[in-house]
Amino acid sequence: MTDAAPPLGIAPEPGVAKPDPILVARGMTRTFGGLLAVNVDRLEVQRNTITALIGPNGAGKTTLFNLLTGFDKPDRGAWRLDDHELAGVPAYKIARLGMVRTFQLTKSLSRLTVLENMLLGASNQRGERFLAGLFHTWRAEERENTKRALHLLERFNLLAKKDDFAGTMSGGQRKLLEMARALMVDPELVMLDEPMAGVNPALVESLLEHVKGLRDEGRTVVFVEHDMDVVMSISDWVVCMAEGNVIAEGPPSSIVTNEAVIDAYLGTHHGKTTQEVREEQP
Amino acid sequence: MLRPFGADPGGKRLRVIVARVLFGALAVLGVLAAPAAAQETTTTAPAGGEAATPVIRGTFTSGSTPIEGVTITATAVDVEADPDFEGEATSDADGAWAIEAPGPGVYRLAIDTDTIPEDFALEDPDRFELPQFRVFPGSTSSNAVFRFASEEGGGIVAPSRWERMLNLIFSGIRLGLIIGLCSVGLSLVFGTTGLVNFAQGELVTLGALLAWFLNTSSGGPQWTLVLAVIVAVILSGLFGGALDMVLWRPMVRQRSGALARMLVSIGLALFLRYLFQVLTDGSPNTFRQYATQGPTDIGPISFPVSTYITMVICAVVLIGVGLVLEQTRLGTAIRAVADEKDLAEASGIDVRRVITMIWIGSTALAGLGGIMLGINETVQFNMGFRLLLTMFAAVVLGGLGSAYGAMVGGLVVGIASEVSTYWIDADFKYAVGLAILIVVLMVRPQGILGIRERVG
Amino acid sequence: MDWSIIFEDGLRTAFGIIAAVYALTAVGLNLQFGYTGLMNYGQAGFVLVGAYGMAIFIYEVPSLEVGGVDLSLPVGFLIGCLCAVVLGLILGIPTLRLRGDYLAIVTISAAEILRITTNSRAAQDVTGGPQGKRFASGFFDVNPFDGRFKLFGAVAFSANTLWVMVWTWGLVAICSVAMFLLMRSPWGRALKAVREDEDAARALGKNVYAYKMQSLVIGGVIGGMAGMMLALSRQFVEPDAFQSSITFLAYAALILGGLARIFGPILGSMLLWFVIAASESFLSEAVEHGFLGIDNVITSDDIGPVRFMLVGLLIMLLVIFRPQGILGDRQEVMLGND
Repeated sequence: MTDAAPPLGIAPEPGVAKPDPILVARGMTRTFGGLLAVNVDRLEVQRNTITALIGPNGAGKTTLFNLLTGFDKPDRGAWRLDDHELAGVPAYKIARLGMVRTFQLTKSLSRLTVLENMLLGASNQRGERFLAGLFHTWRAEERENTKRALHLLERFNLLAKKDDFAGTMSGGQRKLLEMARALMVDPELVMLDEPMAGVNPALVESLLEHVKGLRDEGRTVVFVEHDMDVVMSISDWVVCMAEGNVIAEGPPSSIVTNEAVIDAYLGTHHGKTTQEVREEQP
Repeated sequence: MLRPFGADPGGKRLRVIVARVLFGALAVLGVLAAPAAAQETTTTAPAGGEAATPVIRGTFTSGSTPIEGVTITATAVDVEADPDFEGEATSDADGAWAIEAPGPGVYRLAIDTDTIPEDFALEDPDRFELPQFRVFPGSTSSNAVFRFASEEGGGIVAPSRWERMLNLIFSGIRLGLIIGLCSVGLSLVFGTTGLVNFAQGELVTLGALLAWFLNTSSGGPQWTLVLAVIVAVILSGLFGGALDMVLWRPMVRQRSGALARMLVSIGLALFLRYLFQVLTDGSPNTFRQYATQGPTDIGPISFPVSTYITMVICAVVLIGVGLVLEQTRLGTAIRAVADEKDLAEASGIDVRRVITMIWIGSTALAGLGGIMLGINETVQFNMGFRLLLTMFAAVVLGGLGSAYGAMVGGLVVGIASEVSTYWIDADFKYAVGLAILIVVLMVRPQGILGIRERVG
Repeated sequence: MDWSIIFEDGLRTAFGIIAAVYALTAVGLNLQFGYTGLMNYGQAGFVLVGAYGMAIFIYEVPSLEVGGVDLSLPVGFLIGCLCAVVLGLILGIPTLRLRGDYLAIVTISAAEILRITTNSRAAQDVTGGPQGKRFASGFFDVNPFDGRFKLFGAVAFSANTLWVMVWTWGLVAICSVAMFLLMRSPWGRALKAVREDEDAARALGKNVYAYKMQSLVIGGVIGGMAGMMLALSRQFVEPDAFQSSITFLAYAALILGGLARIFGPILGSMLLWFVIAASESFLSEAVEHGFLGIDNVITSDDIGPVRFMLVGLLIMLLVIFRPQGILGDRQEVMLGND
């Protein structure tokens, strides 16, 4: 396992090229009725790092997430995951290629059990095809997937809940389940949209450990976050957006001193505790 | 989050409330029960026995020469009194013919071209039939005109094609205005509460039945039409408000989803529709004051006066709705609730009250639309249900949730349905609106006036 | 008042052809709506195309001898299924990418267009128009039953009725077993995931559009089979038999039995038709004998509409007070409202 030290020798400037990028986006724009929501000239994400995407409300972070993961279509632009060009590729295929996302408002599948939620995440299941499903030729693969799912549930402390409907769980547990479920896909790149939003502070610490764990097992993580303490403590690289543009990027230490970031983002929250900042989030 | 019904104090309340709505509905509609009993003897003679069965007549002439011995048939296309009617007549020495029709509606008139004497010919050989000949309710005699070429040469100056087209467009606007009136509420209710109301058709019928009962029914008070319409519209609005308070609001409080409410609206529609059938014996009726009225010409356009009046009323009311939405505090509140319910609530708008007002207004407008439809056609227990899909088409076409969308969509669907009969069989009239809907959804899913949704 | 007649009428209908046809229709709806969350309000359209597809084929090709066996009926049956597949594709392609309400409105519109079309004079040569189309399928020629049969020692069916019942309930059984197997498989799990949250399923790499299409088409074919059994039982098709009330009654049966339950549609349809038939029988008995003075309130002409009023009331009360139906799980149903 490689040591995930902060990348050295990369200039902390917007759109900078990085060694071994897993994701490269070029010239992506998206407008909503005249409002330019995303206007990203160039953005690279280095493999096996944790990249935080920050910025004030309405900066276009979630919209960029939607574009990159195929849930929304850009007006123009190109982006690729490894060698796969992704423009025009539907969301489910992007997920199969190894970029899996979670949602700001957790999407647990309420009337499936926790274990069923997990099993759904497994890729390339024979049993998900009609005829194979009908004739039950999927038992062996299901056993394997169940083993993996139980293992992940244990890691995320959800094992006791495995037979409960997902809809009966607390908000924080749903966040955990969503992250665990995303891992069932075995993604290269995990895109977490505000993983800590609405999570009980007691759970934040363990969620952070899980995110770091993802990097340690060789995955790449991009996450949207408002809590600067969280950003500072776990990210290797920080990208700051404002009004649709990437205005700054660099290692966390450089971001806190960056003029543009202070103007656009920190300025609005300056002097507030993280708790206050979090409470402002919907 | 979860509230099992048993542990919820609101549950018992809902039960009480639902029991109340059902009795309430029965009570309100019970007003109609009286005519049902009284009416049994009179329904066979519609409109109080004033109108005799209508006669379709005409005269075949070439210039001034009568043509004798030409056979013409009338077939029912859309005739409630006798959907399978077929009648035949042959022109006499004066060229005159007459067919006794079973009642108002749409007939197909066709000349048997083989019976035309050799010396004569139709001015336009393709015009041997009138596929959409309309006998208006209450009219005793309807004239059908077929043009024969006169021997003296040349055709008679008869731009009948564009005349016919013009009348169809006019008729389409009439239908479109009525659809718009009926479906504004459907759209507003969807926009503010997320309910696709399958009972909207029955709210349309309710208005028409109430007005008919107050105005025409022998068991009713026989008020003048204007008074009857005003009272019927008010009663409709109250019924809508009552529905909201005793049915929809408690369901929302119970955390019933939009889907559950949609299913309940289907049940409500079935219940009301067949209740109407029981109360009215299912037969079609016309309004007393329009029992005898022939067409009046305005230029090339020829419709009964009642049609012109209803169109003006529809247009004025629709403009009024637009003004209310744009200019009043209530209108602003309605738009705010439709736009972003939570934000509206947070900014001090009493959302529940606004929604009740929307129900009152929507049901009143639907009732008025039903009355206008009833004046133009007939009043029957399933008149609103027959219009329901067309209303859906209008609302989706215009853009779900938009009041103006419903108006624009109504006009598009109305005109398209009527004009389509120029080329294709009148049987397909209502199918055309639905087909347009499907096509539009493929091209522009947000509807004509809708705004593209944000995804994700 | 003969209460046993009322009970027998209820039982006869609950086990009879009509309940079986509606059970089959509702099995299709259960797949589409109960498991996948697709609001198909045009199931009557699928029932119609199945019935007309088969009827027209058998009418045009009354015998199709292959190796001494007449394949007209089986081929007609396949054609009916194919018609339902085509309708499913036509409806699904434009609408399954849109939000759910649009599917509801488009499907109900399409069902109505189909009924108007089959009813029109323009299509009379093909569909028989309003008079309908009679066809001779040879279905009853191979009826092994003879004489009258009694169920529970009291409720009698004719041999031909029994023959149709055996086939229709047989199809219900086959489809239900298939549903049972499918819904325990990962395929069924993916469908339920689509019902719960399309975007979540998509984010996990599931082709949501394909699952919705499969569900719509398969559920439609099951509806088509229901139409074919209805047509076979009468050897006749007519547009009025395919009103949108078919869809709503099937929904009532489904909700009554319990959504997303294998036996939901079967139990629901039997119970619904027991209630409808028994109440109809009760009303006509009551009117005839002046029971409780009911003959002062309604006449025998009102029995048909009153029956439908009861169905409407039943749907409302069920959805409000027992949304899980007979077999459902309350907690599960309430979770679906979030």
